[in-house]
Amino acid sequence: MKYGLRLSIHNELPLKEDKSNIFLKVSTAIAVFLFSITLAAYFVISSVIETWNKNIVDGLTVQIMPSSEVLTNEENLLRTNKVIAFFEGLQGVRKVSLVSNKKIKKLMSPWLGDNVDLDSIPVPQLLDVKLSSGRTFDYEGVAKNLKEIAPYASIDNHGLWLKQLIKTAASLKALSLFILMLVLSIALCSLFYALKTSLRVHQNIVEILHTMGATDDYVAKQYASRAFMIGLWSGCVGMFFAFVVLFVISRMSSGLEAGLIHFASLSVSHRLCLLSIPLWSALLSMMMSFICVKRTLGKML
Amino acid sequence: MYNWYIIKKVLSGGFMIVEKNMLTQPIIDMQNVGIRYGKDPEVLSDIKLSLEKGSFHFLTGKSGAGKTSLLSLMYLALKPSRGTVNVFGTNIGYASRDEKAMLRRKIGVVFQDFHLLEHMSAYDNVAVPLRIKGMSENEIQKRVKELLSWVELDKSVNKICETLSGGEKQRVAIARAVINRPEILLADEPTGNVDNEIAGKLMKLFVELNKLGTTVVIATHSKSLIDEYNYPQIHLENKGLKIIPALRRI
Repeated sequence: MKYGLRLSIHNELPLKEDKSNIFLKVSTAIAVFLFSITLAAYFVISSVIETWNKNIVDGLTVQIMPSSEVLTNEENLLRTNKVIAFFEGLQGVRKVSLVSNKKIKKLMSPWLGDNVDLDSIPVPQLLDVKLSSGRTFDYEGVAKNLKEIAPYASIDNHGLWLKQLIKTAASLKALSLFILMLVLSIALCSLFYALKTSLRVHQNIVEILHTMGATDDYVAKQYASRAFMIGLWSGCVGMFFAFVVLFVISRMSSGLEAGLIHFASLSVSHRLCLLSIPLWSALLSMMMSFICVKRTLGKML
Repeated sequence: MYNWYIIKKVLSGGFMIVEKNMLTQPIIDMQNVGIRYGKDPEVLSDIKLSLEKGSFHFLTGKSGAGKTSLLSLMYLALKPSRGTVNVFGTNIGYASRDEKAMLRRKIGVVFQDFHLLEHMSAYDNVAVPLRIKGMSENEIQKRVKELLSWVELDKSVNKICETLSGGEKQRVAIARAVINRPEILLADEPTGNVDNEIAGKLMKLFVELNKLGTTVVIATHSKSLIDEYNYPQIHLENKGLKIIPALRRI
């Protein structure tokens, strides 16, 4: 392997005593912390957008307005069944289900409170219509036909308002990606300047090693080994604090019934990805150190 | 393809293997070499020097005559500002960094100011060339302890170098230079910081190494050393170089 990833067992360079170590440890820990938080946000936004997109494609809600006249239960049921039968008869509809009063109450509780009696106020009935995936649905044609059969029912197309949200979320996603790149760049710049400083400090030792026949790889591996250890240690510290913050945010957001952002909704693969950040931080530090030191030494005699 | 000759057992165990054609080809060859630092005038001009394998030379000249520069050129720490330098048959002007590193492994250098790794022990300093070469720790331990004992540093094996006296540091530097059984040994005032007894012992080591085929160049001001050992001199004067042959003793 040209850029061998093996750690060096030699330590002629006193890198453990470098004054830049503390700077490198702190800056790496902060970078990993910010990176983890931003990546978690990126994952959450991505999964939210995915869910919303799925809702646009996969379903719609039908609203059945209560009658202005007083109707019996049977008459109400008849009105509802007429709309259900209309949608069940359409091509591309997979499932039609009536949203229970309990769920409607839950949806309305943030605005009306928990002790609302749905029978005392005119609340529309809701139908959740699931569509077969991969099929195009003629919303306008269906809405026209529905108006003829049941003028008291209307289609609430999720896409109309979700598209705006998705647009906003996509901007946030792009912003988080930009922040990730920024954090990574700052971390790499810090590493680069710490290495340059260290090489200047240890220049005489490097020259002695060269005189004795050490290759640039031999020297660079010592720096790479040290950078690996710092990257791993600082990565674990940064990751720990990031998880504490994510846990707190998750607990706080679980109280929001809107359910827009849920860190707890991170998939297993996303969590594993977050947990592997310290390892990536170590490997990246190691590789960058190796390449940077080798290139710098290459400019020496 | 190659004819190999096992020359002789070197130091403690092991053999030095030398290519047949290297016995005839100069080990260091300089043609029309000039050395300058930055835009300053040349320190050395039009140097022509050819050192045969197994030769022994003293490098003499006044302070500032360019002895250290010439030695730096020999151990590839300096590039000539003009001319060609061939070491082990390789033109160092065209050698890659890795090639130069491999060539340096065959050269032992003793610096005037020791150039030790001050934060490390005497043992570790002497072990460095072997570690760079990738030798096993068992073999390193055996060789280093034996050599440190030979230069009478067995009681200072684990002492950190910055705590050693000047003479002890000198011996560590010499042990480090010869541990790798170099084909070329370059020394800048190697006996400057040691007493006469140790100086004699070190010179005996250099002579023994030379007898085993090592090319030796020792930069010195010591007239007594030059007189006692009677080897040819590379004398630097007026930016130039002349070879003063060894005196014939009656």
